[in-house]
Amino acid sequence: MTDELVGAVPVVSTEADRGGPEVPLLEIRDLQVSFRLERNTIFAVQGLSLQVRAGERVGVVGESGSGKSVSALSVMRMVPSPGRVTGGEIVFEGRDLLHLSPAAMHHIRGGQVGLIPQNPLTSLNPVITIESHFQEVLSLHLGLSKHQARERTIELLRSVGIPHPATRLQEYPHRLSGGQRQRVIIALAMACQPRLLIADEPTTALDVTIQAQILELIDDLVDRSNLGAILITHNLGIVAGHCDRVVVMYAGRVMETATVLDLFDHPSHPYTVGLLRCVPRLAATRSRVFAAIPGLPPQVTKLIQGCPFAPRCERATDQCRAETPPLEEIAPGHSIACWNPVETGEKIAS
Amino acid sequence: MTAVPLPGTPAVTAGQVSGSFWHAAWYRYRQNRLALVAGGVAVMIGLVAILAPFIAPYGDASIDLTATLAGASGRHLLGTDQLGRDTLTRAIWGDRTSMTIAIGAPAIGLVIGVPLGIIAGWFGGLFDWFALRLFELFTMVPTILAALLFITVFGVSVWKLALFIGITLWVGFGRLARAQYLALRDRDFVLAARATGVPAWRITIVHILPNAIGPIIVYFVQQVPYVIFTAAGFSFLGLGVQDPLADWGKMINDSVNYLSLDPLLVLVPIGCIGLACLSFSFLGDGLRDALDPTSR
Amino acid sequence: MSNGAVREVGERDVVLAGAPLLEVDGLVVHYHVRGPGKVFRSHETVHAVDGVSLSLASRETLGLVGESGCGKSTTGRTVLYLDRPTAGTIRFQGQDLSKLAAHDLTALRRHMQIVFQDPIASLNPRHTVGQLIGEPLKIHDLVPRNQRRQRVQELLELVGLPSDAVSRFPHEFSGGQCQRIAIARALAVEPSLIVLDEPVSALDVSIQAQILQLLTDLQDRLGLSYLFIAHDLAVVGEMSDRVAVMYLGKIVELAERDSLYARPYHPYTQALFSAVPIADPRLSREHRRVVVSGEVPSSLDPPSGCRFRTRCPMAQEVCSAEEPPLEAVADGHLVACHFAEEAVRRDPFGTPVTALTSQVDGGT
Repeated sequence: MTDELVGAVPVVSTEADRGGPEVPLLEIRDLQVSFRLERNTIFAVQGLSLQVRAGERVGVVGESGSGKSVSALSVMRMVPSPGRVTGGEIVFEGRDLLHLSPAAMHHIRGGQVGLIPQNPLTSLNPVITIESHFQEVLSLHLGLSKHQARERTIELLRSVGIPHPATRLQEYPHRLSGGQRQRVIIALAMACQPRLLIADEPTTALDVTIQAQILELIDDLVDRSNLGAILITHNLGIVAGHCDRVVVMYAGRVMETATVLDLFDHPSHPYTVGLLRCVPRLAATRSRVFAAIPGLPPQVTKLIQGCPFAPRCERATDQCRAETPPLEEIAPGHSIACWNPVETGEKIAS
Repeated sequence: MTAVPLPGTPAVTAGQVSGSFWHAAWYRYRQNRLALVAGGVAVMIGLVAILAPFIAPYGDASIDLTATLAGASGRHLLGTDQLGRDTLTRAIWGDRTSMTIAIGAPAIGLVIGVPLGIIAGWFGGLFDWFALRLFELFTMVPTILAALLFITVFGVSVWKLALFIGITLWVGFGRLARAQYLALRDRDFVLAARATGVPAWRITIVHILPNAIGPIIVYFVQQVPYVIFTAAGFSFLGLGVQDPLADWGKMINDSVNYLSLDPLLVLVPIGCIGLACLSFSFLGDGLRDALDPTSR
Repeated sequence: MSNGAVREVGERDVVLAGAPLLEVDGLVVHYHVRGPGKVFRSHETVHAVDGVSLSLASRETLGLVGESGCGKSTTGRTVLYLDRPTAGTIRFQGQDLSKLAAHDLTALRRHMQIVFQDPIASLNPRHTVGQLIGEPLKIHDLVPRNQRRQRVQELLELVGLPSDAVSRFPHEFSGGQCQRIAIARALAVEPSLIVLDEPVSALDVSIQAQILQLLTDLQDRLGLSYLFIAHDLAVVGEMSDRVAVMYLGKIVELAERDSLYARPYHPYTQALFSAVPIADPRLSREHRRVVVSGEVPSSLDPPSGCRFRTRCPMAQEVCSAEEPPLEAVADGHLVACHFAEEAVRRDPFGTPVTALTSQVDGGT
């Protein structure tokens, strides 16, 4: 497979490019997204900031309602109505995406930034052949002719590990398995050689063995082309194995952000600590004790005063409930939003 | 053993309304202005039908030969026809006739079709196969001609009209009920009820039917404009209700020759038909959106 | 083995010490589906479950783990006779379910309940929580009418829901709370066995732990047995006493939980372990894992012999010729593989054994 990959996706290989230049590929600053409904407003994202450099994989972790998916869609300005970006900046390669003209934005979507959406089952049009999916994208962004598009499609399908790609072109999506569909979607995202890849829970609907295959594939593609990647997931195991940096979100806000090693070694935000404790792990023996986070994830229908995690936090103080903690750096590259963080080595009562 | 404490009352999911399905449906319905207006008009039409004997200015068969073809006046707000019958009175009584048919026919269709559809779904197998063929057979029959055939054979009256048209409607209800039944039968909560040991009849009535009723109601309301129009058409052709009963179609038939002399005679019934059809149509749409917000 | 005598259903049955609560022998479930073709449709058979045997004792949790299409959910439902098996016997409390008359089966249903994966879909949206939990009480006439309300309240408290939930509807609750309602409903009839079909897969991680804790507590308090079906090895590992691994309708490995997790023998089990993302960045990077290739074959036409052979790096001729029987390789540890011992030695998928034994529970 290695040999076949060359030629399908351009390999950027200079050492200087690895690890990224000074200027981040993507920078999100204080993003705010809300959904205005009939009865109330949902504040889905309340101040997200993150950076992605070329060659870097940033994981955005959160549970339902954390705002992680909405954040990803915001980069593409594809937040479904009635959602709207109500504040903040999204800067991609120096350009402010939020104020681009629709024509320029079309060029970005699929062309410069690729999205791997969540559900492979519904993300492909069931009445269009595989080839047609690619043709659409390739002619739109690269202006390829039908024949050129076909050649490129075959290369792309091969690069994502679909066997006998030439024979699959005329097939319809329902003939493919879940794993294969996800590969097709990844190929579609990569079709126009984007600089940034956004993967929104790319493996949630897949079996664990297929999940492993897909994650390996994404890692491979990111490495070869030195892409920047945002990986959205609720699974801390995926983050540990496939990300360089992590952003932990809760109720639309960033709770903690750090390098992966740092986050798992020295988690400082009580929510991160809680999450890590309640992740089920493969252990040699049963523990019979489940460290749970009590309570329910919040409904973000009000702008909350104070820390959104306070109702569920064992360490909450009055200040936590009254004032919203700002995101502050506690160590190089490691920031948290907490008034009462967990010290390294501190024992937490369970 | 540690019990996990929960905070107080559960939060209402954003955008959702607390309370029963009907409560939530009513709330959604209220948001739709057109549906509200249409619903109001439909209700008024219904009220007029019920209260006809009390609000009509004149008796249902009263004739005033001294005031034939009189235009609108204080005594006859909408004028009279060639036999001196007050147009407004006839319109009101016609409302009663038309609405009786318009509600009665779909009701008959429902009563025949829904149980058949559910039974077909329940037994499945050969029974279902026959039921489907029956659906297809009756679909082949042109409904209007069939109704006309019944009329010629059995004569006509308000209830007979409702019956004959109603019979031709049962297939639609049957198909819908069957589809709803089959779709709901495999849902998790029905499986859970089976696991609890709930007997099949109770599952159908207590679990499936309340969930199926929404689309059936919508379908019912959507048939009303069709029936109004069809019945009016029959009357216009002379095959509907007979004198001295009035319905809107008959009013048109009676007065079409006098169109140039007094257009009101024709315009009033046409307006009534149009108003009734439109209001029930929009009511049906509004109900559909309210009862199933996912369908757009 | 039960004593064979059919006891009268309806009494509160007491399971003989040592006799399994549930015994499944040679369970086969095949579905007929219509194949492609416009005029003459051929009939094809989905081999959902192809010869599964297992047993479950009182107060025990048997984990059933596998990926989609392996037949675990079908097994769970069939064991409760919600679907009819094509072949095989199912004995619950010593009684053969296929031999029971309809009303006897209904009465027996009291003792075996199920909790589904999608908590919201498993609750009738038109019924209030009170009606949902109260219905089993009504059907089985367990509690006199005037005490039903109180019993419902007791159940709500047992699962940690507020008492005002009684008059509310499922859509007003979160996923985790709906699952608690479903559990309360299952408990209403005081069952001995609960089949849990992916009970936490649809829930957030922080809520998962709450529900798993609840289930464990209930088991201790009420002496329940669980058939715990899941695709997540870590979750199954935290809940089960014994674990069975299924692939394409068959059990490929069955062992005591600790024995399985310390040393999985079957290559597929190893592949599963290897594929689980490890929530530790260093271990994750050190762990040289080999991702299993290919996809699960269609259950319409399963491979001959060992069904995993199409993806197994150790497959040889005998694997396609002969189906490996489920045999003991160690005490209480059964494997269906011709090369079980070698699979452990070779470790073709890089099972994170060292990762397992070096992980201290609770992480950081």
